[in-house]
Amino acid sequence: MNKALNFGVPNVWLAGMALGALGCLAGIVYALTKTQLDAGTLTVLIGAPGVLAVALLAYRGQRRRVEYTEQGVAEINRALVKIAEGDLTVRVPEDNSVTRDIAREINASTQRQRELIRNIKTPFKVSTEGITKIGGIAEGQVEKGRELTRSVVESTTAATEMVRTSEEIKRSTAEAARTSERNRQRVAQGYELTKDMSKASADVRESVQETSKSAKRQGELIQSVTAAAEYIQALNTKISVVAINTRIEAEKAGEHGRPFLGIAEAIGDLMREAEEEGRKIISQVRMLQNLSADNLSSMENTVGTVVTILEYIDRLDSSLEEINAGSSAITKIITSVDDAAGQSATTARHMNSSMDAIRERNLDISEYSESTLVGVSSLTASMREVAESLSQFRIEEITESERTLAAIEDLKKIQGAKKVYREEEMTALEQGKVARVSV
Amino acid sequence: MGISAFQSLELLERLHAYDNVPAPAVAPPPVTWVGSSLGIAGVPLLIGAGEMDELIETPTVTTIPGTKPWVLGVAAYKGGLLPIFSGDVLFRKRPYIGRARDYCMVIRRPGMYFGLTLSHVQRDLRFPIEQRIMEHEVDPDFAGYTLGGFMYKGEFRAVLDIDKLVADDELSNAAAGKISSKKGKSNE
Repeated sequence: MNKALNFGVPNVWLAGMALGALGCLAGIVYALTKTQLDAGTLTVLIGAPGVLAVALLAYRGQRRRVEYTEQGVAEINRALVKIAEGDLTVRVPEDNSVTRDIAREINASTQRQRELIRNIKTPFKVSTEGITKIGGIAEGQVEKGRELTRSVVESTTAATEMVRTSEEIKRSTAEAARTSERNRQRVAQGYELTKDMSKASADVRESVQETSKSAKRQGELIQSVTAAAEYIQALNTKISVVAINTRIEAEKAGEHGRPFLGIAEAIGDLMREAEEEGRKIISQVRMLQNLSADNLSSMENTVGTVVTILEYIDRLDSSLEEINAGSSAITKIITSVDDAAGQSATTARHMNSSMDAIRERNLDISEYSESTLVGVSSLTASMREVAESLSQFRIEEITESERTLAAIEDLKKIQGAKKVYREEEMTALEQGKVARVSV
Repeated sequence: MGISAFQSLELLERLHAYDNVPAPAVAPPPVTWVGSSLGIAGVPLLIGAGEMDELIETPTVTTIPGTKPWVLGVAAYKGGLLPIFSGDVLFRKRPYIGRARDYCMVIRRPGMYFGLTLSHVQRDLRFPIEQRIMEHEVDPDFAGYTLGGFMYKGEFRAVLDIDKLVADDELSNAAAGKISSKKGKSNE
């Protein structure tokens, strides 16, 4: 439009000048026709428009030059304005002869500035990415440090529990050792008792064997008594036969045999008593014989039982010896377990102390990492600001799609905030920081 | 002058006669059964007095061939021969293999003179005759040769009737029959 205006100005000027010339000519003609003018006046009248026209032409040329210069300056000014706005992609036209050199220098300068900014942006971008990575690593370090703190706290708790368990094991093993020692003493007492029992059983066996011999002798005597009683019974039978025959003969003798009949009856009466007593004796002797046999059998059984008891006592003795040896071994094992539990408790205490130190160092590292993270964050912010500042320098023409992608990247940066912890996690972390486990 | 002893006794008799006190009646002696208690084949029996001639120890016998199994043999006794019968085989009618019988009773009847082995000998017993029990269960092998019995110490003891025994045809013929000779003793 301005160009259109520029193109219209000379025409106006030409029209004005033509109109001036025509006016002058018309004035001259009018003056000539109406009035009588002298030559000077006429010369003036004719020369004045010419001078005026020349002056107008000179003015017009000068004006055109000024306008041409102003146009170049305006172009330079516009470019400078854009450069001041950071647009280094602007290019000053170099077709204006007046401002050509300036435009060329400006263009060369912007070219060099673009190259300089491009040279700055490339390593700066790499630095930004590196710092971002460092920031991520520092954040991960902080997170890992917290996890390590939790793990150390858990390990400390476990070590404390291990110490407590080891002490319980130590107490239990001490009690078990005392119990085992008591058992060993009791087994030793039982061992002595079995020896006494063995001796007593041997005495009982000998006594019973002696009694058995006596009982056998008693049985033999009873047997002879039985034989004697049976012999007496046989004699009684013979006497009975004699008495019966006496009665028979006395009856045969009639009146003369009456005394013998009385004798036979008297013998019969005596035989009745003797028969009853003899039967009692035989019955009782046989009962005695049976009792003696039962006693003998019982004593033999007793001897067998005592022998069995002796065998059992021998086995019990062997078992007690084995139990005694086992108790001693158990006592040694318990002692070694006690020592191992003590060592384990000591080791657990040392481990607990080490865990405390690790936890404190880890807290320091976490603090350092957090400080690093803060520094990296501030550095990242600074870099972002510098990047934003640098991005204000437009060094290349960007398309609409590139603008959209840049906006998306900005949104991603906004979304990529640090992890937000929940309240309970923060509470656990705070408690984990101050948790001190005493052993 | 005093009275003599006989006069005193006579006076005493007169005083008693005057008092008319009857003399105590003498009870008749109880009738008793007298016999011997012995056993045949383990069965306790009673043998009445006078039923057997005597009791002797079983003598050594000489076997008589061709006789019945209950004939143990003949023994020399008081200068004569005495046949000895086995009470076990005679009554049980089966061979006996047991303890040797030590005694036997001698039975003497007209035409019959033998000795019968006994399983045991006790003694003479005396029972009131009215206590005799005529109906009582007796060992079947002896039932035909008994005549009542008595209870002695809670046990019934049958009275062996020797007359029934002697009258038995089996006892009257000691010669072995065909079957007996084949199964029992023989001349060989």
